[in-house]
Amino acid sequence: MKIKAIRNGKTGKKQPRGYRLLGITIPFYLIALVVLFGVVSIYFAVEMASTGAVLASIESEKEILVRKNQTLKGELIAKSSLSQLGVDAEDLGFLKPQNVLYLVSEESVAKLP
Amino acid sequence: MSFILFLKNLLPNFLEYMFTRLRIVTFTFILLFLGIIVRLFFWQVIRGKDLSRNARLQRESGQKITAPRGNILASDATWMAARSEAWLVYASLPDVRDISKTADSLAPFFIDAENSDPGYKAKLLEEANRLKGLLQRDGVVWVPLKHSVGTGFKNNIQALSLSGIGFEQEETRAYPESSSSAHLLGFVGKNEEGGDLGYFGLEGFYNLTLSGKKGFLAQEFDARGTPILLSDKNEVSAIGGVDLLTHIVKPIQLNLEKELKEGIEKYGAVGGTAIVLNPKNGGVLAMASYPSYDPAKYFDYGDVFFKNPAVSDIFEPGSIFKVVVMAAALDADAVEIDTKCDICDKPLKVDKYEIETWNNEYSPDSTMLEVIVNSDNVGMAFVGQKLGADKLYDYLSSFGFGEKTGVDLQGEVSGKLRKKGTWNVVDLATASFGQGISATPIQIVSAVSAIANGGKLFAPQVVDELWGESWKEDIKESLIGEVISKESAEEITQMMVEAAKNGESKWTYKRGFGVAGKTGTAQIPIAGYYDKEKTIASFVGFAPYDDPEFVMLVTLREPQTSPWASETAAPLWYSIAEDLFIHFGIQPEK
Repeated sequence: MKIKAIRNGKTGKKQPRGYRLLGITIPFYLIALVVLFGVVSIYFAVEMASTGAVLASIESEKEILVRKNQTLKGELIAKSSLSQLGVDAEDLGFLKPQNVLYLVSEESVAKLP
Repeated sequence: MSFILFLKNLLPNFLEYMFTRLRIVTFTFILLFLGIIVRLFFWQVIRGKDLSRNARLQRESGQKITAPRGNILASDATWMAARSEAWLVYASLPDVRDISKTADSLAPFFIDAENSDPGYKAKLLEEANRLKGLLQRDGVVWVPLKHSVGTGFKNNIQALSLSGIGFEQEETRAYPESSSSAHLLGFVGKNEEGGDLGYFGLEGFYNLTLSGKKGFLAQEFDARGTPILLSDKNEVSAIGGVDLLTHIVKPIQLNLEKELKEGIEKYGAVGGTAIVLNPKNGGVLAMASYPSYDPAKYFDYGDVFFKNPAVSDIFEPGSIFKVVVMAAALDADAVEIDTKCDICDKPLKVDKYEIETWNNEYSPDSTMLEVIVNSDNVGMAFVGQKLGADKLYDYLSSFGFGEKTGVDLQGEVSGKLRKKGTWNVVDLATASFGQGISATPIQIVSAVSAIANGGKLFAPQVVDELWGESWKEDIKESLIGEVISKESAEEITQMMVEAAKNGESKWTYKRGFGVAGKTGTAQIPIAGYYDKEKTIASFVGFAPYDDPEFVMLVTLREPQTSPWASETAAPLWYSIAEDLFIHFGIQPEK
């Protein structure tokens, strides 16, 4: 760390100017750090706010999809009704069989040589 | 030079003047600064808590997350009762412009009638007046107009663009099979806090399982309602209700209800019950009772309709009980199939009463097989005497009489069994043929199911599995015990086969299908005596007898066309069984 001395105009003696790093004083670094921190904070705050808005938008979309899903499910439930299926079948001309015939088939047996 | 001299003379005064002004300005700034500090102190310290609370109230939003109610499914996983989207239509009274127009516009959507129905106009007017009354209420800002409005109706109302009318989503129950299975399912009503609560049937028994658990979300939002991500967020996730997969076979259930209803109308009965069980595991395949109700509109029915007669009504079973007593006697070696009844030649005098047969026909030296085939009351009293009251009590207890079966339906009761050791000779005699003893239909069919299952008694069970969001749990069948031996079960089964083939209901017997069954015509006790005309006609049976696929009980209360089960309940049983034979692929014997 170079310490540059300034000659006192009256006494002519050298006086230290202040601590420096790479030619820049420490307070300057501190100020720069604070400014940087401030900028970053503001940036992230804005990002969070906009992400929050995106989240709200996604939540709304999700609600819409959930509602659509529920509506479709309601339609599916109604369509799965067996009693309604019976009514529709009757309207289409299907009838319940009145007589049931049971068929007996003979078991196949290989013919002896 | 004079000017410079002037300035030189003026400068000390000027500086003094400037310093004074500076002091005044500084003092003023200090005062202002102090004022700001005082004010900040006031707002940040004295009023700080209030402002902070108000800000928090503005930002924070807490809302309950509803837990979706579980569905009730048939054995093929189709819906019997499902959660469904519905809407609460409400009015924000300060925003409603034209009360009369609003009421008249909404009324048609809220009444359950078609334009062509008689009385439609009267209903419409009544509803419009009701809505006007609600919209004209004083001192109220928000008023609910109608719950459980369907999405289609909601969209139609929305299209009217009525001012002040809004919608809030709510959950309701959908019943795709309409009013079918009402007693099995129960209904979803409200509790004291206005939350959903299941009543009766499966909705009541499994209410906690179906309800799930509500969640809660507390989060901060900005002025536009956008969530503030860096803020505190507390979320307790809702736990959705569990779905119930039942043993119910939908085609059997629907057919059972249809046939029972037709049978009640045909035979002029006051009511009736039918139950179909799987004897191998106690699974309830179908259950129906009439009169019934519509669970979607339970509020339109009186309380008397909600009780499920299959599990909540007790009755004296009559002759269908004889198979249980005979099974007990065979298992206890008190009698054998060919034991002869030496008192069956005439009516039996027991204490001050006389026991007669149903047809006043007496067969001396009847075998036990003939006692069952002929449904001989005197013969059964003989069996009771051979078995003894204590042993009969023990067997009846083993068969599940005197206590609930444990079926998973809310509202089950049990018939009473007299305490062991308190039975007199009359109690023993009458209990032997199913009078003077009470049971519920589910107790009877459960006991006969044990006979069909080689003597093993299973607790009847409606629900087979529980389905969570990402898990399933099987509800194992509940074996209560082996009440009679396999050999005894086979013997009584043979008797029941003969009773079905050659007994009083032989005219309706379906030849070749291996049905084992028994009729029962029980008198109804009223105020200490038995009514001379009113009966409960029943038929209980299973098929095929050697490897039963189902056990079914049909009871008709007070049939008018004939009091006898052989002419009412038995033909109805076979009419239902015809469809069961096809469903289970039961072929007639060659």
